[in-house]
Amino acid sequence: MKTEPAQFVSLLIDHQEIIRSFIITQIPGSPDVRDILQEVNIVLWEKRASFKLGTNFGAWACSIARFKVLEHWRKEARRRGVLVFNDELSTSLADKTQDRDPGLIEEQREALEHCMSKLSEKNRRLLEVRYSSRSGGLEKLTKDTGRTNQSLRVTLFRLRTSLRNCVRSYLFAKGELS
Amino acid sequence: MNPDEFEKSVWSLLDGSLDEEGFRKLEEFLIEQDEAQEQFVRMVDLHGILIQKLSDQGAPPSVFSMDEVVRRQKRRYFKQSAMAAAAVLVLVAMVMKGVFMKPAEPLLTIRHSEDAVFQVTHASEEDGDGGGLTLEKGSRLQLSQGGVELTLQSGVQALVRAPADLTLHDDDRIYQSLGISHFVVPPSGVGFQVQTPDLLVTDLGTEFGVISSPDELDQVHLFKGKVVVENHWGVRHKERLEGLQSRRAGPAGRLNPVDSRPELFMTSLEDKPSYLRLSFDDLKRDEFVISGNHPDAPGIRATLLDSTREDKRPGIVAGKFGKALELHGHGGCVQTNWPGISGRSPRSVAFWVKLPAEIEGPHKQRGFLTWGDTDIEAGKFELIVNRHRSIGPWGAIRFDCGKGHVVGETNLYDGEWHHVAVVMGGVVDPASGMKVQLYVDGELETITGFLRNEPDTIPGTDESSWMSVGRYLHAGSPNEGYLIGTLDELYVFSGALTQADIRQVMNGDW
Repeated sequence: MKTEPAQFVSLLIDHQEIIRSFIITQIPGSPDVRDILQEVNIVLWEKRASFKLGTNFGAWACSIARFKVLEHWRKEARRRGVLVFNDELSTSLADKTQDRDPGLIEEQREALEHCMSKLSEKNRRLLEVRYSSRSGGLEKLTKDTGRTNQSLRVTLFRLRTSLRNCVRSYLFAKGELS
Repeated sequence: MNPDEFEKSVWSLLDGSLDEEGFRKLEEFLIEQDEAQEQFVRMVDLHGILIQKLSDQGAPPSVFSMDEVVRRQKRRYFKQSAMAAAAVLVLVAMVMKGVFMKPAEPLLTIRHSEDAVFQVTHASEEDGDGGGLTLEKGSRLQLSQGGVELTLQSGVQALVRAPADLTLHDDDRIYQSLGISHFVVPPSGVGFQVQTPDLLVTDLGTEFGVISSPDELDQVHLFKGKVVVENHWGVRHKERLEGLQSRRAGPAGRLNPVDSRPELFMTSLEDKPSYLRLSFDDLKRDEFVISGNHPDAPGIRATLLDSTREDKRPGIVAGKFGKALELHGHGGCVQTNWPGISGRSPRSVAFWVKLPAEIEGPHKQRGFLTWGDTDIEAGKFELIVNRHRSIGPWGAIRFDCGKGHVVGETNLYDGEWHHVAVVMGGVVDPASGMKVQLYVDGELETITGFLRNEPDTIPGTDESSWMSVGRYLHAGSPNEGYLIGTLDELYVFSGALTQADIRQVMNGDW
């Protein structure tokens, strides 16, 4: 069955997090995930005619993403010494990532929204600085707070662990997790 | 791998800060544990959602057709690729001696000390034809050791001490995110500006110094003439300074007076790293005199702490050169008020030591020198005598940074004087692949050990220790960890010495 453009865009938007997670599991620690995701989106759009509506969009998109990741690693990441998991592990992680329901990701986003609303302003700002491209990294925050970079990183680790536990509890309470 | 270690490893990996050894351990754990893979994927999901939620990139706008979106993405990607192709020149000038170039075209030329280690990055491939010794608009200079002299087209001169990070924004403006710099501005350069994360300093015909550091608020020290200084933050206080005035940026946006410290700033290129020296020759009321040309030297106090036992009190005895400090454990040591050299800055420590051939009672861990944070991995800088045969030769010098150590080979417990030196951050040791060298009596030791992370010393936290001599920080009881032995001619250098330098220090010729 042919996929209408609007249907394809809807599928593409719904699966952005799955594709992003897939890319991260294949080249964890690389700073180029956003760039690769952009490239993958372009290729997916150009190849939209080859997708059959009703089949697994996540698996199809991730199979194309895998080629882009490999291409990137060969050109850039390997030269820069970015480490990647061995083939067996990469394949296993790919299988676990690509077949998930986009709805679950949406539930996680909702849970995260709830958990972040419980954070203090200070801790929320630390997360924003870490994840926002505008704030210039933790260096500016060390100046604002008088804390060292290492000390902020320790706090960041504790914060993310706490968020993860909160998300898990929220989803469990909603019956989304067994 | 326990759950805590697993979680730390994953977040470090996603932040791009996990080293190869940690990566392989994590990989092995994930291969063995299917459940860990599930957990890893969930953590990646959370990480991805945080990126999407908090970054400045959103979903494509729905009002445009997808073809338009793809055309826009392709244009943006091309622009990013072009910028990503910028030339990066890495110049390591460990042995070049004061090369001076003064071409007509470059905005800024560089002259450097013999021991300088720096990296120049240009904004475009066309810039930087001066062999890495010129800067153009947008060029960045990162100095990790030594000093450089910068000369702008306008005649402005700057002497910069490592560690430093400067970017040339324009022919009359420099951005300094890190460093201690001394600027001399001739009449032709009036209007020259130095911008830091906290301050904007505008010259009105003068000589001034700027200090910027990620750990403290920035400062301007005026030596001659006039400047206007403005705080970027809060109330954005602006002030005109004249004569010998100095200001520190206040957190709320004010400018707070501070003591003028001209001794902190270089007035000429120094060919050797700055240093502190503790000779133990001069003891005045329980305080040793600290000498040396390190900018912090005049303000450092080195207090001799007494032992808890009357029969184990420290003493001053004949040393290798002049007098030496004899320690008998039980709390006797020297405590300073100096935080030590921080971060990954190269450094060297050298001293003479005589350890007894026999020690009564069980051998305990004994320390030579220590500073930094013991609670954070790789956060401390510590030199001790190794007593764990499983780690390395017993009695050998051991460098420990917390979850990482390097051990020499020579047993120092022989009742004889030995010269010991530790160099961190210099050249890579070919045998071990690590940037740490250990020397005994001027000879390079064969080393064993591992560094899980590159040492990144953290002074200035609640858990940090200021530099102490003759003591080991992680002792199990109040009386453990203190040195039993004699120390003489302790030097701490703010740079990586060569073997020839170390032999010079050893012979008393520094």
